[in-house]
Amino acid sequence: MTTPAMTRDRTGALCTIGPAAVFMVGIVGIPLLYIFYVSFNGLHFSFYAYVTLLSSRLFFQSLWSTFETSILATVLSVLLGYPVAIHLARQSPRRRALMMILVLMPFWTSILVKSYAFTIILGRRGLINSALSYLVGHKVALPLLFNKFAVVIGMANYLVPFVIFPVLASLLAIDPALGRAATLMGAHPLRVFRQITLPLSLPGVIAGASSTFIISLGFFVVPALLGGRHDVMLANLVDFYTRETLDWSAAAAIGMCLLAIIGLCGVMAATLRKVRRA
Amino acid sequence: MSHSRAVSHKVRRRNFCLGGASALAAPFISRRSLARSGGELVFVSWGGSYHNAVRKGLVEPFMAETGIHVTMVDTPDLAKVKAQILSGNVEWDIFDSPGPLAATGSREGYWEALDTTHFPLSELSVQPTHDLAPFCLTAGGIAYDPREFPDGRHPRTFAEYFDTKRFPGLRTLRNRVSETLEVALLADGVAPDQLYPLDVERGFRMLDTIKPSIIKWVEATTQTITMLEAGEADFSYSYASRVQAAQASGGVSIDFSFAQTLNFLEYLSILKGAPHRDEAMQFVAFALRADRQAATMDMLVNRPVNEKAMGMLSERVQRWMPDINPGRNALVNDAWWAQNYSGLERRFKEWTLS
Amino acid sequence: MNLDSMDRPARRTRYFTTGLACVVYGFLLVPSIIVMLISFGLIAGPGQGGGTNPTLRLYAEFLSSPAWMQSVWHSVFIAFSATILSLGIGIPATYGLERFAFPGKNLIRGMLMTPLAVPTIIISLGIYFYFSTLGLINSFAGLVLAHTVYVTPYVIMTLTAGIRKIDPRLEFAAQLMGAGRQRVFWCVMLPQIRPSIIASGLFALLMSFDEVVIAWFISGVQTETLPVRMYSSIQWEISPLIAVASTLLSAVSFLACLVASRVRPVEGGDSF
Repeated sequence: MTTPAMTRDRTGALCTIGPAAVFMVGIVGIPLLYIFYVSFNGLHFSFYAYVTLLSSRLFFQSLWSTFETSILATVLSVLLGYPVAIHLARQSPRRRALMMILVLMPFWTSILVKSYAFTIILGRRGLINSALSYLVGHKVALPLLFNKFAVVIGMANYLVPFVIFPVLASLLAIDPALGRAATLMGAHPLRVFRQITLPLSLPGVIAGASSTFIISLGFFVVPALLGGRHDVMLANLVDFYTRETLDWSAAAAIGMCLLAIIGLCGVMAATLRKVRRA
Repeated sequence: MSHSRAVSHKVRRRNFCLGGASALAAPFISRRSLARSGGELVFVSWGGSYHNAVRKGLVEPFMAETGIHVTMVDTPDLAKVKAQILSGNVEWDIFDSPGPLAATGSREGYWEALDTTHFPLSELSVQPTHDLAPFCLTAGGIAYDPREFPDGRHPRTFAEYFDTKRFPGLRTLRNRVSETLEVALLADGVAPDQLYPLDVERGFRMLDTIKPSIIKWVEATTQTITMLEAGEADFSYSYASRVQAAQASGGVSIDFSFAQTLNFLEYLSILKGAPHRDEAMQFVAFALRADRQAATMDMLVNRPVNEKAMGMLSERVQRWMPDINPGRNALVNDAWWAQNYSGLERRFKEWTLS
Repeated sequence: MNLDSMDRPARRTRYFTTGLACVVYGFLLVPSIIVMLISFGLIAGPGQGGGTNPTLRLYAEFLSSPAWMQSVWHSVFIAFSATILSLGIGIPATYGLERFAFPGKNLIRGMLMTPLAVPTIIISLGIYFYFSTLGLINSFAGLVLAHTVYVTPYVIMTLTAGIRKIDPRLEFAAQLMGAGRQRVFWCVMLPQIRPSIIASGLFALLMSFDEVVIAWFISGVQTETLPVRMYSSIQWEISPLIAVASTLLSAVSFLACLVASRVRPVEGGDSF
């Protein structure tokens, strides 16, 4: 995207991006290089960590389960977060500030106590099953807990704010005159949404969805507490290798694989964008 | 002792070279260790009610008696031990951990050799190894709700726990291979004193039979209780001390079957290169003394390893002490697990996924 | 626009989205409300049994515990410092990425995002080693630095979304009128992205306040943060004090937001 304001000013670029880059290289880059080094077993160079990983069923199964869960949690978070962002964008600044607190509430609540709260809601004798039993007239015990459903619900409860914030930011940046003009010209609100609001808020949605997805990849407390036996995440595996067997080469190798996959996704998305633009 | 000092020194030096930035770091490190040497003994233990029991029963009396100040840190994390030892920046002195962690640390050589001259060896029911001092004993077994299953209609032994026809209902097991494999083998009729080396194939075959009845492979220990409390499970593999605590809180209808238990040890160990090695030895010896064991275990409701302490426990707590005589109950062999844990744990995780 | 001046379809869609949003608010709030009820003894907490008598016992216990209160102050200090730092480096970086053309831009963008792409436990291990050679373990400086890099990607992402939506021609026009680069940045750019700055700052604050894995590795007894304290007090048992901590945090943030919304002069629709 070359906008009129986009200039080839190397000094400007250096001055603006430089500090952040120094921070990243200095505080994340060096430790990551160290982890990369550890994944090859340090001074006693070997591929063994990668070989064991790539030959283990456990790794691929948890990789698959991680992606499945993360995608589901991201989709649900976007679906839940978007209407809230729209609702917030319509409020007066003061009311918005107040309602924002509602959105932030899940953030302040420790995930461990909250998963106990989810047991109260989703359990066999939980709120939902009791309510349903009352409505239907006989005892209902839907299996809502200890499966993927519970994991995705529990994760979305934490992740929705990560969608709301960027979407709200981009919604607020839309010139309200656009929508007003379209409405005056007789456009149906759905059409205004489809042709103005949605496309213009898309960068926010993409930002929110990608951060949500990547945060999901690192989740392990919620799946461990609310999930069933199939809900093993890669992060559980990293934790297992880091804390229990102390095989840090294996833990580092998993991290490197994850990094490579995410990098690949990024490159693919970028090429796709380029191809489409061409 | 001077030998182990030299070794730890070597470990430290080598890993600094690995770190790469040693030259840069040298001034910081030396200043830090200087600052530390005058500091306090650091005791890493668990949080919550465990913390309070150990503080009242052990740490405060120790400070009063010796004048050595002890700082308590919650949650023993072996990864932090490894990081401290590799970076040569050891801040912790005493590490209080259950068998699998302690044994893994032992295999990796993270603990100082113990100086047992001041230990009350003749009073201990389990002898210390060269680097691990058994601290107390916990009993794993079957917890149930006596309101739902009155008059002994609950499974009492592991064989009954695995008998889903006579005792229909949802159950829990731990989401780790240690304990779980032992429970399965005991259920299949293996004699407790002939458990090790574990017959892994037989154990997994036995686990296959109960898989559909397991509602939750429990990751967090607290969930072994809350699963019963919330009515998610009918029976739960839990721990005597936890069940006692839940019962004592007043509102939970829960009980524990002592007909058969799987017992395992909690250990104290001293980090290699610990800044207060000698004071730490003193602390461990103090922790094994009969009076201290009795005072601490009266609150923790775990079985003391000091047999003399057994008689000093209050009557309320006596009822919760598991039997350690070879009979129906088994004792987890941590040395065996230190050798076999990582391979079997992977197999177990693959098994749960399939 | 008020409701009366709208036609029916507009009102209907508005009700629809409001209804949808309310359902989501409910979904977000119910678990937290249950936790609050636990903290007041109105619902039995995990392993607590029947206790349904309202009580403030847990609050007294929390507020009178120096260890808990100290960890709260540590967290507040670290979160604010990390937020200010990350905005300080994140705002110019986003501006640079969006307004300058230079070779290797995507690479640098990717690099700035790395903390997002690596599981935190892995970064924590690396940082632990690195910081221990620098003597930054168990220091506030170390925690602030680590949290700064941890939250910066979120800051950049939120700001990017905001900057992409403003009209670059405005800056171009200002430049044509003779404003220098710096002036354009301060007087044209910044005011326009104010909502994004506030959003990303709030976000950074919360992320840092909530972060446990990195802090678990590099904090010590003297620098223990609230989440670290919460984490270690649930390893053995789910302490009901956690419910109190969560409720107090919600209350404090509620008050802070309330005060903020009163103090700030209310203007057009662009502020938070």
